[in-house]
Amino acid sequence: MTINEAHEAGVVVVSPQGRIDSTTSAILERHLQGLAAAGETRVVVDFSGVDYISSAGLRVMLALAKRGRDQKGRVALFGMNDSVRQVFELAGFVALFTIAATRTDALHSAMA
Amino acid sequence: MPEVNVHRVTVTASIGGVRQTLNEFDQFGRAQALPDDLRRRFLVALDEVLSNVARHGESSEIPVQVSFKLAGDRLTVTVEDEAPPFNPLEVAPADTSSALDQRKPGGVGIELVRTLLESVRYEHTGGRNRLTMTDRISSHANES
Repeated sequence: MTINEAHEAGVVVVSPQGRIDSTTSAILERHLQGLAAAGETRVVVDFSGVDYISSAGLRVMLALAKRGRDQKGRVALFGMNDSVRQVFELAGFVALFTIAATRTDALHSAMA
Repeated sequence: MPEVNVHRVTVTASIGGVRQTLNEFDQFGRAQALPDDLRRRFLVALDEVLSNVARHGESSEIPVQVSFKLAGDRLTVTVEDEAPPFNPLEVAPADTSSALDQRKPGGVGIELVRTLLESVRYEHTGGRNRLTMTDRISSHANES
């Protein structure tokens, strides 16, 4: 898995590429933990390069949401394909996240 | 008779085995021109089932046999292993409605397998666990 990272207006945009499953989720988890350790509390996750996410990936997202709350940060997601969106819905995760329609909306949400 | 395409892979119950199987299924799905939606639903389910076997098996050397069969518009994926009997479908359903504080990560995976696919069946036969997952190209498992 490759993870790209961009910084815009105090927000970190993390763009994982490929699949987020039991074979890759530890890489994403380490990356996101690194951001938290560096004090980056405004995080946008760009799903536009993600093929699918399984429950191992949801676990990483749950940890991100809990850290965001504990650090009084902001987390927003965008760019999900229908399959990723469906998994979020079935797991009841849409209620836990701000899921924006566009990158711009996600950035605005994370800046608020 | 519809055209039948079968692909079989044997791996070990390890993270490397999970990765290899997912790669093989991904290639199979693309070669058979499966719709992205169906290919991804099976990849999610396979990851859940295989990582479960890798976690619950006594040894990462246990062989796991996976077959992918496309017969007409029906896709069947079978996972067989000789790990101790374990029916993943008996895992308690996950809590998917509570607030963030109460959320636990467990149980979500098997819930996804149950809901993403049209049919999932477990049997223990001849000393082997066998999980059979089926769905159709034309089906919409998420339709309510």
